Amino acid sequence: MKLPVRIDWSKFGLPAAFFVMLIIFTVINPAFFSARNMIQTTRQGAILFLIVSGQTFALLARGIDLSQGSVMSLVSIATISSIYVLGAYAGSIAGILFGAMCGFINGVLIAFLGIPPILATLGMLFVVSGVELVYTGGVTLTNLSDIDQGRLFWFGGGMIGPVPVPVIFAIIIGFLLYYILKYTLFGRRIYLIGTNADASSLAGLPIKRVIVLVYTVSALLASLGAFFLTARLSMGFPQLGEAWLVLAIGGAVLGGTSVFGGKGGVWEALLGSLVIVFLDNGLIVSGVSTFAREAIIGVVIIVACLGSVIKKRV
Amino acid sequence: MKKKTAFLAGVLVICFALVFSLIGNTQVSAKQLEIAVLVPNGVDPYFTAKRYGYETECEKLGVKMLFYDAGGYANVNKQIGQLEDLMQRGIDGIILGATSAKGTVPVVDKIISKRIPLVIDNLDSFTKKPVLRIMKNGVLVGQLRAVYIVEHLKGKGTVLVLPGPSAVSLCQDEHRGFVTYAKHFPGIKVITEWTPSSPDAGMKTVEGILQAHPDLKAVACFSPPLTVGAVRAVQASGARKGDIIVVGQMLDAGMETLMRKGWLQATVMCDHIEMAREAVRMLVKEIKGELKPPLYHQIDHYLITKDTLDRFDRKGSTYPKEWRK
Repeated sequence: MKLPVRIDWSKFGLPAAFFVMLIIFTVINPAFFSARNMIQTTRQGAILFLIVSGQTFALLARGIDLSQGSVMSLVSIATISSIYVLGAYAGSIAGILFGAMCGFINGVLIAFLGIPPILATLGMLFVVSGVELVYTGGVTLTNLSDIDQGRLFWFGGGMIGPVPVPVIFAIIIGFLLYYILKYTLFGRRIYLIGTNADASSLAGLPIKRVIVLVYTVSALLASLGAFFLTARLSMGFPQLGEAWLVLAIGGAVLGGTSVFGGKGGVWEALLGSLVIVFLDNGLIVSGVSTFAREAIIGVVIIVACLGSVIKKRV
Repeated sequence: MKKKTAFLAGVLVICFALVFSLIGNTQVSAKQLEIAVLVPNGVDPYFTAKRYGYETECEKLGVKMLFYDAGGYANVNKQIGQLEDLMQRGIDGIILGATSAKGTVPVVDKIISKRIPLVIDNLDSFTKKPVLRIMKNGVLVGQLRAVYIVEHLKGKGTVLVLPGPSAVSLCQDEHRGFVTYAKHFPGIKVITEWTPSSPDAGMKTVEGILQAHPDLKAVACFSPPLTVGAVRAVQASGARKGDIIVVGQMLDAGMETLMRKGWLQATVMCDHIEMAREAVRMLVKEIKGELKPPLYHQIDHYLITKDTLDRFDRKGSTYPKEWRK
């Protein structure tokens, strides 16, 4: 018997799987669907969404940004260091801009020197790691004044009504990114370059300018994610971003962004981020051991990558 | 006459040989010793503090120090590569905090076979060859945390243990110490979550466990980053100070702030900076032939709380604020 409506599973498959996952975890442990757990998890999801969105920009342009994790660590240190001197607000902006600058340098290396994205961003990963370790000696930066700590903490741990502050920022930024990718020349050019860079070049698109902007945006979004995480912890941790690069790439691909460029977007970044954070949280709340959790998340990401490869071949 | 000449010549040769060997020895001992210190995760506050201990003691003894960081407990291959490079280039002695107790055995055995002086500092390598060791008693550390928590919970309650990375033998020892003591109290339920030693892992894990176990009464943490993450999660849950007991290990600036504000109830200390200094002293003695393996030197441990925060001797566990290398 045929369904009256034809369902496009490539579009609705993952959202459907996401809701089924929520239902399963709620059945296993009703505490999963409590207000507090939803609030906490969406807070984590907001941070991951920003980082995944940044990676999405790089992937759309048929590149990759391997420096996101290191940039996050740098921003954590730079933010706290800047706050010591400039105060909470100006220091926070300075810290974020430090991270964005790394992305700008990535973009210049890729666009103007012709270094492949994987190599340029890998190099930046090591350079940034080294710089922040030399600067800090591995020391955690703490001891903000009470006023600065309070102001900073609000960004990471505060609430506006029932909604965590990072979630509000993520929603606003998400809409902005959606608009940029869908309705601006810059956004369309990213897709074109990702689909066929040679044709785009022959068509006279300013590829170099676009690439520089893409990697600046990628690092800027990772910096914002790092900022909210640092704000929540109210301390600067070297290697804060260590585990996030894999999640960023995994989240982007899981959501449906193609590693071959030209396909994906903000909606896919959101979906991928939500699946990862709620999957991880659901497994913790369900009592699944750490080892099994890592394996399950890894398998999910691999399957998503496989799906991306198969879709490309088909 | 010929026999006399030959005899005199022989005596002269022996005298020259003795003189040259003495000069040689003097030159060796006058040459600055060069040692390598290898740690698994240099950004962990524990190793950052120990680095201060290594550096200051090396400076005091006139020894040149090379510092190698594996960059994470998972980077066993990287540390093995560092050790092999050191064997290749030549080094007077090595202090090793192993990334993996089992994974480093072959390379450590090679080092010992090549008679390169070696001190294993706290993070053990399970070599069966004779070696100098300076160690914490991980089991005791775990038990100290367990005793504090069980006493304050009066033998009843759910406790989350964050022992850190599962591949690290010290973490396994601390975990074993905790559960071995806690199992004597049927009212204590222990939940274990092996996580990386990072604040976001601690925060995310405690948040999740609090959902599954809203009756959680205590958290025992392996390291300062996990402790900070755990406290942030406890704060976010709406719990008041002391509702959920948090016990950590070591005391960095961040943990001290949390302890003074009442969010961190206790921490286990082991004078790790003094431990690093002692490791350097042991290695230099071994290089000079004054100390021979095997030797197992165990350091002291003690618990501090907010009440004793201003009274314990910080020299062995705290570096000056202005030091940041």
